Amino acid sequence: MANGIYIYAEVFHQKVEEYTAELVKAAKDLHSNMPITVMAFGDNTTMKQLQWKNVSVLILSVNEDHEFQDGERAKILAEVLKEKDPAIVLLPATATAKSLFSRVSVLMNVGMTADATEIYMEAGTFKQKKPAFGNNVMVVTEETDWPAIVTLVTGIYEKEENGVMDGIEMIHREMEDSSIELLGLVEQETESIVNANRIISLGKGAIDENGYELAKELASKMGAAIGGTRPLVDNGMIPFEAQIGQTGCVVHPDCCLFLGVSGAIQHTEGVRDSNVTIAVNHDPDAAIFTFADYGIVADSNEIMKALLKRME
Amino acid sequence: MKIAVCIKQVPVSDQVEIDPITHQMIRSNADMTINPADMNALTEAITLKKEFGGTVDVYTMGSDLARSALVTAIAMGADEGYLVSDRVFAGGDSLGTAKVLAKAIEKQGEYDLILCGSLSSDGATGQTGPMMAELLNLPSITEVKEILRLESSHMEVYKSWKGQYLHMRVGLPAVITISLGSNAPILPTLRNQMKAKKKELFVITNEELKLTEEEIGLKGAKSIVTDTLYAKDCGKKSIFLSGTVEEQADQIIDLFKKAGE
Repeated sequence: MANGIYIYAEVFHQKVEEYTAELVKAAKDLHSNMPITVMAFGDNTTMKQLQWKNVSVLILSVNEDHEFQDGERAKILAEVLKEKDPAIVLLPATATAKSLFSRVSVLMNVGMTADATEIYMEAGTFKQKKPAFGNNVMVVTEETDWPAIVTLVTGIYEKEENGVMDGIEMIHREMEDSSIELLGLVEQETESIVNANRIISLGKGAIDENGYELAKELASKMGAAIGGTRPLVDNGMIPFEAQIGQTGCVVHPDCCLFLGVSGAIQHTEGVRDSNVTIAVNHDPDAAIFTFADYGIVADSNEIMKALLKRME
Repeated sequence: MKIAVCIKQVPVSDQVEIDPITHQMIRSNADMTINPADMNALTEAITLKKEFGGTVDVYTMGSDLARSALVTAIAMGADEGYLVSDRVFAGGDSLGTAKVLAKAIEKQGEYDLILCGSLSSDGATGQTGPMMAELLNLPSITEVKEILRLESSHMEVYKSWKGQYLHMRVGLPAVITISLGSNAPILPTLRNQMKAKKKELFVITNEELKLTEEEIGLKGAKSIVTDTLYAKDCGKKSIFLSGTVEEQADQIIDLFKKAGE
């Protein structure tokens, strides 16, 4: 019988990604009585970064460092997981972890549930909540097979405090040759909105060109970063990096102003940890008014013009 | 260069209905379009064809309604359209979909390059591409922003990663998923659209693919939705700020000031 929770820790350039501690917290909060293990590719340096109370560590040590060779890494992961037979495999909902475990799930012939924002046990069954496409809907999912491979959106759970780990196991594997080679790193010039204290989030209601120009001016005056909803990214108005929500980034600003945002749950999931939220929408029935702390029923452009005037 | 592109139809708007019993999206009522990232993948494939020669075959899994996506792809410059369609394919999870598409691609013969969009705007799992790669036993690179070089035996790409690009090289054949917004999608002319409508599409059913029903579609789905919760049930209501537009603006400025304290 499958037992245990395995958490996959992403490691890049020998550094364990910080959100691993969130996954540990989420796993502990299940109170499932199942043992928890964190697994990672790496070595002793990696192991030292994986210290949590009542959590075991499994290090997969390979002959060479191949961080982006998904095919070969997936083979090792699937082999080890088949042997360990856990009930649950948790991984961060990052593009890299998803790419890798998509291949693992094929090798294990199990499904993979994407982008959970909450995990819990209900009458002994492991369940997930995640936003679904459509009219402001959250869905509850479960898996019909072991292990349940689930990706958890990062930035939602708190980080588990470090403590003394339970035990450690190191498995050595030979990595097969891959046709993938990393030739170098190139810097990309975009500012991250993840750490912004103030955010102006734009939706379809503020999407006309004039509105976007006003928003840019306003953002620079207020010292805010511009983010937005998926349709704006699809239209090429804002870059993918500025997309907030389920498939974009999760932000934690002191204050967030929504302009013309309808309030689709895919978006609001990414801002729910904001301190204060204010929404402007011309539709008094917009779903955003069931999310934001403060609401203004008005045309976004008018409010932006007034704000700019007030700050002259 | 033989290129295959996998595309998906998605609803134009997010105001779609959810079936209260199956918890699935009611697709027949929604206006559908090609998934935005898939438009980038198609554009990339057609651009490569123009530069290096070869063919672009387009695959989509769906009902008869998905024909229009293939017609658009052909109008953009693709050569052949394959509608992978069978009732037993419906309702599948990403693994089920990947199994169907991989089998259909395998059946048509050897491709040098298989392209997909990196994410769909509806399901948004980003899993189908790399799952197909594993099923086809091919290397995969996801979230590719740019194809830098293409040779007969390998290619070089930029992959988006943490605000940087990874310059990577991969042997062909390979599966590559193209990031949203990585190019300006080709817009088909009216004339090409008319021409594309006349082009015959290939239909592939499970009679040819012979996949076991337990492995695909609704029956094969291993990640299942058991409940739908409506966000509006949470009962929260915003505090509305009143007054003139100017007064409202002042209140916003105050709230921003206080929030930072």
